[in-house]
Amino acid sequence: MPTTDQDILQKYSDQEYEFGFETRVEMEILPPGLNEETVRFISAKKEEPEWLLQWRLKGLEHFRRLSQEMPEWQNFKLPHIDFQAISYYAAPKKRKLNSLDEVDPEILATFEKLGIPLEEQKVLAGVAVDAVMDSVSVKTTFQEKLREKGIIFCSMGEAIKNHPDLVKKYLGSVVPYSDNVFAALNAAVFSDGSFCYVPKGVRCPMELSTYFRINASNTGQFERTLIIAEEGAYVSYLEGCTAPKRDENQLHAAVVELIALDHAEIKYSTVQNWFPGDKNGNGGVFNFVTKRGICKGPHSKISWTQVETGSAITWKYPSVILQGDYSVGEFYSVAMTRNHQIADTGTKMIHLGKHTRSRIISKGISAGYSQNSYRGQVRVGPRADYARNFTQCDSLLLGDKCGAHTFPYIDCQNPTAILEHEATTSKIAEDQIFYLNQRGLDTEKAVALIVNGYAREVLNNLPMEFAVEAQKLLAISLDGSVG
Amino acid sequence: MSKSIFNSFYQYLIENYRLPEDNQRNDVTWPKALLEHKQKAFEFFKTHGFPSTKQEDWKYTNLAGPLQQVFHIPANDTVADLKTAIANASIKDAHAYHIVLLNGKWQRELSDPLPDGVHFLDGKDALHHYYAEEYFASLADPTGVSLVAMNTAFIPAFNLLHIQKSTDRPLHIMHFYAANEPAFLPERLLLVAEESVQTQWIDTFHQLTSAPVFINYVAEQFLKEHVAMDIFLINQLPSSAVVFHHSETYLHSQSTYHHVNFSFPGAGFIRNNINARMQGSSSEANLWGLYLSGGQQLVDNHTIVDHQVASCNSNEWYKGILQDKSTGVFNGKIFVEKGAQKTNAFQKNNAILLSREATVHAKPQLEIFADDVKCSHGSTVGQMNEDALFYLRTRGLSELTARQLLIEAFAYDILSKVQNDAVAHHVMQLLRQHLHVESALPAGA
Repeated sequence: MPTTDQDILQKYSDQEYEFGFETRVEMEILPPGLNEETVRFISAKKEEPEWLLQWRLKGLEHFRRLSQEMPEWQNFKLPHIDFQAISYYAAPKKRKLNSLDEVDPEILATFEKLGIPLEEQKVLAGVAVDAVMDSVSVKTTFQEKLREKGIIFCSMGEAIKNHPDLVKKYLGSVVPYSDNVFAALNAAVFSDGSFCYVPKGVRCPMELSTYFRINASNTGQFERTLIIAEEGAYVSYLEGCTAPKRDENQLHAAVVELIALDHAEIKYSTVQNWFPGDKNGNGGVFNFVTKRGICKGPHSKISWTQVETGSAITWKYPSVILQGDYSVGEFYSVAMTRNHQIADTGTKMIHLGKHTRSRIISKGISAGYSQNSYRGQVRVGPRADYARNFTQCDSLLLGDKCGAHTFPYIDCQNPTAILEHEATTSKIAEDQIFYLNQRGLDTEKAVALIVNGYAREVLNNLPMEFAVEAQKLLAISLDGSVG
Repeated sequence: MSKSIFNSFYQYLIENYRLPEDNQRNDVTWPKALLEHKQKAFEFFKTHGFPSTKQEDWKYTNLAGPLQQVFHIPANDTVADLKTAIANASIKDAHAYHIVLLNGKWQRELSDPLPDGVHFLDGKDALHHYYAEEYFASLADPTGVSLVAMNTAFIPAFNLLHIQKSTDRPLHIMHFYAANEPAFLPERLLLVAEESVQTQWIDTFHQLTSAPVFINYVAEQFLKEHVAMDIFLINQLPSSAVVFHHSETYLHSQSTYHHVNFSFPGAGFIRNNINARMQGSSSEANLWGLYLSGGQQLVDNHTIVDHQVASCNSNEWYKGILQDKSTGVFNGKIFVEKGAQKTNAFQKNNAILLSREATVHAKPQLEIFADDVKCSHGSTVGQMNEDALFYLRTRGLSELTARQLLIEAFAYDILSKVQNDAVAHHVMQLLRQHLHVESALPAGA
């Protein structure tokens, strides 16, 4: 049992990724490379309508333009990404299953290892799981139950086939293909993803969730998620990620779009634990995701909650555009980095409507040689009378070789707005540990307790099912044993 | 997409660049070592041009507009009536030693004799001083700011303030600028405060003519061990001025640096870079600032507090009151470098918007590479507290008086940092003079 801070830090800093294993499933893979042909191939493979193909091609065009000059403003050096070396399509060969029995037993075993057996979840948690394994939706459960309510919850591919009007209306309306280089890439080559539509006045009876996994070697994952909550609707969506161990870097450039109409509410929660690279900083996933929601109607609400413990580089800013009057945006985040991990994450709250409110709580924990940055923007437009924002971003440093950084941007063009921002950076105070020691807790447990308390404000915002997993992840990261 | 501006002013400068030795106007010769700095700086400026909004540090501060016209390098000295100007600029009851500068040139006969141990040097005295070779361009230039390089390249000479003994009364450096046509006026100061010196220093900026001027002021300041230095910077330039002000200060151990920065409606464009770098342990840097903006003004305060060694403290508080169509920009960086343990660094930034057309951009920023630290920042944007206003109204104050009182209270946090009553009083007068609460009253009030 380690007794000093140093021992503990050493122990969990050195801890290797626990979920590193690879599922062997037959794959159909497109040779690496990106050009118009690739895009046409993907589109044809998925039997997409012409308008979507054209949309993808426009995405490709913007990607070519934007990738000429990769962004430099971020607080880390962007590793060179050879977009031509990535294979843009991979799908498990076996499809169209009617029951869980038909699912490849290996996939089921994978989920079991992750502690999320489909059957159990189905029975226990009442969670509908749209399991995505390398791009194509393998199995969707609980669909019938949802259908009764009129809720559409399916893979993006199915949505394009069965509900083209809805997809056409909303796809790219929040994150256009010209938004940034990775969003453009996603628009061009997105493989699949989840689609959710909650009709007027319906409260989704269960937490919707998707488990993302990156599997085959050399395939970036380009998910596209679209969630629409009609007037007065409510939906809570969970996204959880783990990835198998691998040595080369993998690119993940997903796009998530949320649309909340009048009085609607969307809650989006993420637990991300992709392969962070080994303790020397080799390998690991690049998590470059564009997530954005729009509160279109008055009194609507969008809430992002994220627990980020994985990925070599996490680079994302789940944002909310507060367009409707009295709409509310929330962002709760815990980002934990260790070894050589990098996180540059935060949010953007764009206040456009009157009486809009936003709340940002960000907790960073950095250890080892990692660099953890909060970058956020709160913008108040000239017509956003009485906008209100509260931002708190705290950083906890464990060890003297890591870094914690805050880059908040506060832009206000309205004299009636009230914006508050506060940030603190510190390490765990020795007197706190001492106090817990003398109450009989060893230092390891004391650190875990303090970190848990520190992150509690965010963890409390996760749905029950996820809070457990998130706590487990933090615990694993901290005490070096399976929690 | 270029990240720099290469406009006609830039072209003019590149074409008209002369090293001092070929320059007829200069009666001073530059030592070879310093000339190298100038040459290097010119090359840097030539490559980098003026920063554009594509650069993170200039994101909200667009130089393209203010530098649209060509500011000429003045051919000869402008004559101005400084006597009245000095009388107007002097601060009542401050009993300061006046040091008068016109377009960066020391006006010895109009300045007060300086006390024992305080040396103000210009021309060849400054150029050939032993500190010049040691320190000139060693602080500000490495920051890689192209406007600093521009300053180094284009200054005909610089001033050196060497303080060897504490002063009984404050120094007051009056920076006057005058030009009959659009002029580019670079000015440079090198300050060295020797061990255990305590001094207060008032820095005021004025323009005597109405032609547009681009003032590029760079100061490099060394505070040696145990120095206690207070600087009160008061910017009173009119709308014809475009101002770039860069001060870079190195603190040796146990020194204290206290910088209070005031600006008022006037200069159309103000960019201040106020940087303090702690190189010796147990030093302390305090940066305070208050800006009242008006008209179409842009006031941009960028500060850096750089904790390079352990056991230093820093405090920072910038407050802004924005009127009319003005824009306020604040960027406060705190760096805590590796090994700078036991650091306490605090920063605060508040802004009040008094007009619908005013805009504020704030970016408080922490970059921390050591773990045993206490760092925090807070930032707010808002308006007057309605409850406080209501309370004052119930006590019989008119809406106007009540609002005025609340704004003065808001400003008081910074004014109280001025450890000199005469200066604080003077600044309060300026604040009252430039504040027009009436226009901020809600309709019907």
